[in-house]
Amino acid sequence: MSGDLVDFSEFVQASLPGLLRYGHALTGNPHDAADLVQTVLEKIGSRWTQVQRKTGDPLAYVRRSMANAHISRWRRTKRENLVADLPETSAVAAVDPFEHEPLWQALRDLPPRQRAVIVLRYYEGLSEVEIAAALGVSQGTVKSQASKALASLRVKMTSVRTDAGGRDDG
Amino acid sequence: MSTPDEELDTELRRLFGDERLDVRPQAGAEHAILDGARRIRRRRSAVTAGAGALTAAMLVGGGLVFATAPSQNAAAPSAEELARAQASSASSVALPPQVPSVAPPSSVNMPPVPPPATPPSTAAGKPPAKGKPSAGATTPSKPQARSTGVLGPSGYGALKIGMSFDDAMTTGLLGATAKAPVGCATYDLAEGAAAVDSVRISATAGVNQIWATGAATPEGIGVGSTEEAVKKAYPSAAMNSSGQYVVPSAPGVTYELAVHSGTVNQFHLTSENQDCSAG
Repeated sequence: MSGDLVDFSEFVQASLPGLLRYGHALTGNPHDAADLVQTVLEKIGSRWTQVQRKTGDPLAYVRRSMANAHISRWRRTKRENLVADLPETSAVAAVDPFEHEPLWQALRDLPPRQRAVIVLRYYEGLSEVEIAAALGVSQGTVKSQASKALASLRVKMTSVRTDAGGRDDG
Repeated sequence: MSTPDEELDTELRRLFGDERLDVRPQAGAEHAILDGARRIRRRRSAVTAGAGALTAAMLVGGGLVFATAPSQNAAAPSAEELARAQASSASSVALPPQVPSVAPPSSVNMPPVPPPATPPSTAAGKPPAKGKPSAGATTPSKPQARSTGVLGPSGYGALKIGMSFDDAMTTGLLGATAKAPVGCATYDLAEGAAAVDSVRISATAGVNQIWATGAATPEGIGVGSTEEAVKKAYPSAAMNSSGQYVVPSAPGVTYELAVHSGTVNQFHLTSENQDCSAG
């Protein structure tokens, strides 16, 4: 194994659990998370020396690549829309640890870029400026995407609450 | 008493801090990734070995073994919850690892390899080439100190977007041993990676992406340029949905510039005529 791959191997070992978790937050399910992490890491590993040279923080670079890959992948395939058309039986076989979480379900309906902004903000705790840099968009875009996302989450959560007869907090 | 906004903030933080988000990699996952990285590298450097299936192999994901965090599907979901999940769930709810995915992530698999019957003629309506590698000095502002060569509006030197693999070979810029792509493949340049990192060629669409390392646009924009410099050089640059500044450079061809921390960290020339997967 060449030297840089030894180094990459250590990096993968250390970062894999965190990246899978991050991918789960980003994509909404563990399968897509694993898929995304693998695809991105393989590409990055194949150019590890360059990646290290170009960026002082490979982990941030990987995360950013994941966010961007997720956004562009969705754009190209619209896969989620296809899956929504599947017959109902698929939902029965499926096990989603968050199926009792209305907020998680509401997140699924967000367009990927809005979701990415939410994940970067609430999962990674990044500022608007940092999110803009990570996704390569303007700060204004981050602001507007975030407010659109929060607005639709709020609406969904309110309707869930109404359906359920209200909650005792708030 | 908290405002609804604060409440949503709190809920989101709680959700993203939830341990159920954990996806446990199984032993061997690292090896699968390392193998994949090696495979990509090998195929890239030795495009020789009849590695036409290159991109296909590198993009077929799914080999990564993992297990979800502690299973807690104790209570069967009510019919109502299922209905709601079904209605609002855009992507499939997570299937247990053993269950074959209903809809394979087509983005990760290669598009079906087209029959090699139609050799890609060079793209119709190709503009005359303008940017020659040597023409880098016409920068309005100070050229990037580290720029090496010019990635012109329609290609790198003689290597043009839309050019078929065979035509690309005749430029001599690819390694002499490069083999034609099946589907899509990525090639290093024979000259090394100082200016251009790699070139992606599709069997049907020809050269469709050129990744720059040291090369800059004729306007002097490249990796290392500041975001300000990008905006100044290309006031009409628009952001695409992947978050890159996009500058139309020639008909059907764009510069794409990804900015990180105020600096361009990825720069490539891309054809809109794409049949290769993302990335």
